[in-house]
Amino acid sequence: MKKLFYLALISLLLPLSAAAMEANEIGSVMRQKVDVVLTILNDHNLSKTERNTAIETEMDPYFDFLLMAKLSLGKSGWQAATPAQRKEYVVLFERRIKDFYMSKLDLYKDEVITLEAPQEVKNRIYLNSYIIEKGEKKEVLYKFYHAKEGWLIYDVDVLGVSIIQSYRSQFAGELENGSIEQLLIKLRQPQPDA
Amino acid sequence: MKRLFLTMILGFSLLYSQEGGSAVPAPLEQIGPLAHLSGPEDEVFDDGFDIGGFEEEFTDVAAEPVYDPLEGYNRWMTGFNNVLFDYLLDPVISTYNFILPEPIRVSVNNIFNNLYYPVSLVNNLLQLKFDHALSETGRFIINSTFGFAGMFDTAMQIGVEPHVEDFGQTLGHYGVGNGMPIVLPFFGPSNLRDITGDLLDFYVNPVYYVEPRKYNIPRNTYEGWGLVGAKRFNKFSLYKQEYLQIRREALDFYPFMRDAYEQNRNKLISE
Repeated sequence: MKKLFYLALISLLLPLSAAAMEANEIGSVMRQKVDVVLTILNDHNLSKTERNTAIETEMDPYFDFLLMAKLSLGKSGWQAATPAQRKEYVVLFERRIKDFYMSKLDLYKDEVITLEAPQEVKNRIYLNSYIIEKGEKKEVLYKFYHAKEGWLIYDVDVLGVSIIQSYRSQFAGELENGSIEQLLIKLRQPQPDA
Repeated sequence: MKRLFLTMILGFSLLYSQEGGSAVPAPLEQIGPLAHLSGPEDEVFDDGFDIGGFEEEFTDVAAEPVYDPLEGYNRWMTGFNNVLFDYLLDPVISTYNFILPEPIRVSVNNIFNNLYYPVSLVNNLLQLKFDHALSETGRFIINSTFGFAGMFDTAMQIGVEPHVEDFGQTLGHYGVGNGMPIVLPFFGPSNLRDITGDLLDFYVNPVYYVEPRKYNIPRNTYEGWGLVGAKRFNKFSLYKQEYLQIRREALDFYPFMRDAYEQNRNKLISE
């Protein structure tokens, strides 16, 4: 009887533990994931939608979209919003940030991606990656924090530009001029097809 | 048996709460699975902001607004540049890109970068980065010879990485603040410090002091600025798609550009 109870519990926890990463695994797991994503990108039989869904499935478990959403809105913005607004905002934000990422992938042309060894910075882990593109070396930095489920990404820096900070400045501007409702109206608008 | 029943109920209720209850309208459910929400939903969306340490990592824009006295002009100029791009630059770049395939434009960019060596050297020395000054010299020699006058970045291929420094970075290195953001026509976002730096860069470049001769390029200041423009134009032609994407996707393009520019410059200065 007891065994059955544990089995039920474990089966519930499984989807979470699949994503959990220990600090020492970050380098190898991310290398593996990047390679999988590159394989998907190089598979020209896939349609764009199939490609994006496949990449989303691979990468989703390593991003904490809820935290990213909160940080982008900022403390006062988040606290001013009602639970229903928060929920809608998180959903729209997640969609938006994924679309942003996916549209960047459209520009990918068999560049080589190298990953450096993860570095511990205070209680975070930074993973640097480099892409040599158009004769220049571009730096992309993945920032991880220790969540309940293991290490998760909460921000990505591209050429030193933090995605979260960029959203934050834009959202702050919206909140200053209007309410969260106005921000939601803007976020609800479908993204133009890149 | 009772316990099994309880477990199942617990299991179902947990599953249900993870998938997002009935409060969400159907279309939202489809676009965002909210896969990461562990724990009861009410807790996730009702909490205050209990994420210690994160707030310190990001600038609180609401608490410290950006010093941007020229915001009105800057926004106008950003709009002007966008129109300029759509009606002038875009058609010209399209033709340019059609005539010169990307690998050639990359080579042109490499040549310009190689010619920037004297300025980069001076600025590395001014910042007392002697090892970088040395590797920049090595790069210049390798690329000017084996890289066919800078067409190919042979040095990077053998692992000698660039450490490009400009006067804006040197000023930043010695603690000069960004100053107010200024959007330039054609060239886009900049700030007071970097515009000063660009001018110093220009007049430090030995190319500018070459005795005027018929076959010199540039023969005068205007042609010198023309070269600076050509360099930026060629580089921009490589990143046209990226620019268009960001412009389309940004919620508000001007603050996005301003912020991205400052963040990128701060990173370059800190290196």
